[in-house]
Amino acid sequence: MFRNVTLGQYYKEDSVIHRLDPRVKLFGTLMYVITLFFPKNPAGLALAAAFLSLVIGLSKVPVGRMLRGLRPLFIIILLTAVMNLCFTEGQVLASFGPVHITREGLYLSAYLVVRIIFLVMGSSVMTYTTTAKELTDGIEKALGFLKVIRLPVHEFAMMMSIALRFIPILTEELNKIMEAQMARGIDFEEGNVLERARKLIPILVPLFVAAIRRANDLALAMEARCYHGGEGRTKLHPLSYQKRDYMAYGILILYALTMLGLSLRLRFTI
Amino acid sequence: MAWIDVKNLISKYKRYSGETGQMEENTALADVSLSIERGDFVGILGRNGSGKSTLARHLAALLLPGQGQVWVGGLTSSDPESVVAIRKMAGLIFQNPDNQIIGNLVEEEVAFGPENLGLPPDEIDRRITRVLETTGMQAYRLASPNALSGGQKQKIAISGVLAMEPECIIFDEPTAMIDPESRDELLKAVYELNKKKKITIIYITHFFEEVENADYLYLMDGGKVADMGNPREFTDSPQRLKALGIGLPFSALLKEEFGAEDTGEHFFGISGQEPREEGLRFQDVSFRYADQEEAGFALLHVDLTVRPGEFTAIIGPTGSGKSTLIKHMNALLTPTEGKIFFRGKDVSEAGFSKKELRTRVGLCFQIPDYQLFEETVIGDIAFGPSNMGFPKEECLAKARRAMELMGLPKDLEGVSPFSLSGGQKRRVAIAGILAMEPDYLVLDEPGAGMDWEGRKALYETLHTLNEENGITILVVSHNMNEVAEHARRLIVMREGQICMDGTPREVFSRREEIKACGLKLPDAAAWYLEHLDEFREHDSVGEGQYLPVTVRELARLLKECGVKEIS
Repeated sequence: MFRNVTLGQYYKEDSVIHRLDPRVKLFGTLMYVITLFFPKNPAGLALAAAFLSLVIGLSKVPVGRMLRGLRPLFIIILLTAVMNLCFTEGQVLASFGPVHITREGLYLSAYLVVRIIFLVMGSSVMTYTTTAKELTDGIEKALGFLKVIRLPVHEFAMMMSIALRFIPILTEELNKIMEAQMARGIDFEEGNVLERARKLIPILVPLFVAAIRRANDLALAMEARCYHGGEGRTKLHPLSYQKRDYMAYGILILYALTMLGLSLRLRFTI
Repeated sequence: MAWIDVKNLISKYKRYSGETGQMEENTALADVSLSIERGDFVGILGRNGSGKSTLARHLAALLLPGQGQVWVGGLTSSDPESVVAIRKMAGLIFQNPDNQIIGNLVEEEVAFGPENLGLPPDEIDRRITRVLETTGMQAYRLASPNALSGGQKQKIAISGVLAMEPECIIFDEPTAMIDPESRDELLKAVYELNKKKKITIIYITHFFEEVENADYLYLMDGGKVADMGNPREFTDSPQRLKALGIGLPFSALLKEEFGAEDTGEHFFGISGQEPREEGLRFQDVSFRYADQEEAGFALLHVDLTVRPGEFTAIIGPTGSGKSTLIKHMNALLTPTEGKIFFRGKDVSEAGFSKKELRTRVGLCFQIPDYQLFEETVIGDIAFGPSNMGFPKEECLAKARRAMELMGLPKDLEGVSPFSLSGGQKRRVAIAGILAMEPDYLVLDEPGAGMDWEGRKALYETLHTLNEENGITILVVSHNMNEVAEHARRLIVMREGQICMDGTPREVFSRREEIKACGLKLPDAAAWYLEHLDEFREHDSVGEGQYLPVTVRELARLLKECGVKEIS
């Protein structure tokens, strides 16, 4: 059932954004998310929107697909909007009983909604254009300096990569275990909370036993192929910056400075 | 000294024993000595638990000897400096393809070994191209391993080992967990590695057929090398295989059967009267998985009646809908269209209890580990009855009865199910279903992963349940010899439909259709058809009139034809 699910939402395409070094994309996403919180005015948000549209356009990921990614967040966005709309103090525009809609509330909720949407879309550009492997490689290399203070960066990246490989397998295993126990007459839909919690035992025990066995096998298989940690290890696709990556860094910094400038200038003039 | 030399190797391991409740020291290998020459294809045979896998891990320097020595290519694994070098020379392919693949893409998987060796990227890239060409998997370079079949996954695992340019590859039961359609192809690939690439192959299995073309064989038993010789010697004196719990090849079976006295009994004869009750009935059932709408129907217009007392096998290629079909039998899945009746009652009706159906139609899946969870065997088996709401004492009584039916000794009651062997686990799992006292027992691949003795004993138990306890048996199986011998009715699935339904002889007589389904004939039928011309001269034998499907039938037919001797 879950066999063909690749984790994450990678969209296969050959665009300049896809080809960027994952470190650039990580940095860019971080930068974009931080600067989203600078502007308190429409001009800043307009720039953020323009930049986002430019990047999405370059990435060749269909906009419809990106918008669909927002669907699970609909409730959160709606709640944020309603809460801010109803409970912000200021100049009252309309009242419904105890609830007052204020001018400030209207602005604030509009800002927040736009920001959440930009934030989610901005970071999904990265997940749409970067494979899980590139991402873990990028994190491993970008955080490589932490090895100096003895943080196991390579091991962490390897763990992430193995987890990505085994999540679909374990999900399928979970399904099979549930079916096997249902065939023995267990009914997950009856009983109170405590009884239902107890019914997890026949599911979780086989799942853990199987996972531990897999982990053992995998460790042996890795050793059999001479795995001995990150030291002395090479990579099939080593990360190295190209000209386009430096250009992208330049553009990103320029964008961040402009955002900063916009918010500072407006703060002075208001 | 031979290229691989094992000298007086003893391997012990500690494990928790459920029987005594203490850590016990077990001996996996008791004084093994053997030598293998460079470029050889060596088969290592033995029943489950004979120490084969432990030996494999020693040869690949994954286990290091406490006593004795292992030499590979002039290096000994007792020297810590040599361990990595030995691992590089001797690659190991494990049983379960899923548990040895590390990469999220085929390319990453193959690169893993060379990356560990610290090779430069362009060299890794060249090696990937080269080995994927050798294994014929070039087209899958950028595919996710999860999307591949079991056989393809094993080929990727082989590619990953080949990319390290080993001199020797050890295969530890590589076909145990893959679909039989890809088994022959994988075997062919392994033999080619030996012939074309001159790689030394050590092939561990419990199927003699897989190593009958090997240069020589080592037979293991109880942690020792019990016998050795070339495959020819063993086909000539099959008792040497049998003594060590290894199933005989077809030619030896036929000779044995031919030489045996004719007992005159009809083998698992057709039972007396036709039962009147209709039992389980599928009426125009179609099914589509909700999350795979584009994949189409997994079952399509299935009409099927299973009557009480049957011993029926469901066969068909991988993905033909066998699993989907049996999951409908106890309402784990409900039809998208059509209806299922149990004893004349519509299963989908509101008043019908699914739980009740699941206790009447027991379904036991292939992997016992997916259902075992309790601390003791008896507790685990009693889980089904306790879900049905029986008082504790009654649950235990039912569990004890089920253990007896499955031939599980009483002293296993208090043992942890996790400390059992694979064959015993399977019996405990089936007992866990039997404890609910079902009238129907549906088993998915009951013999998979078991050795010849284990399978034989399991089928004997199933026949007892069927004949003496009146339990209707349905098995899903990939093994044509097994279904021809044991089942009285075959249901053949293909692309979600039932394409044939009849006695084994009726079904296997439709040779063209069997072939179109991607299935094989049982060995006896295939042998008979191949030698048909030689029997034309004997009268009364017409093509397809009487197709023998089991070895016993074939032997009897040959005798009736006046054949005196089989070469």
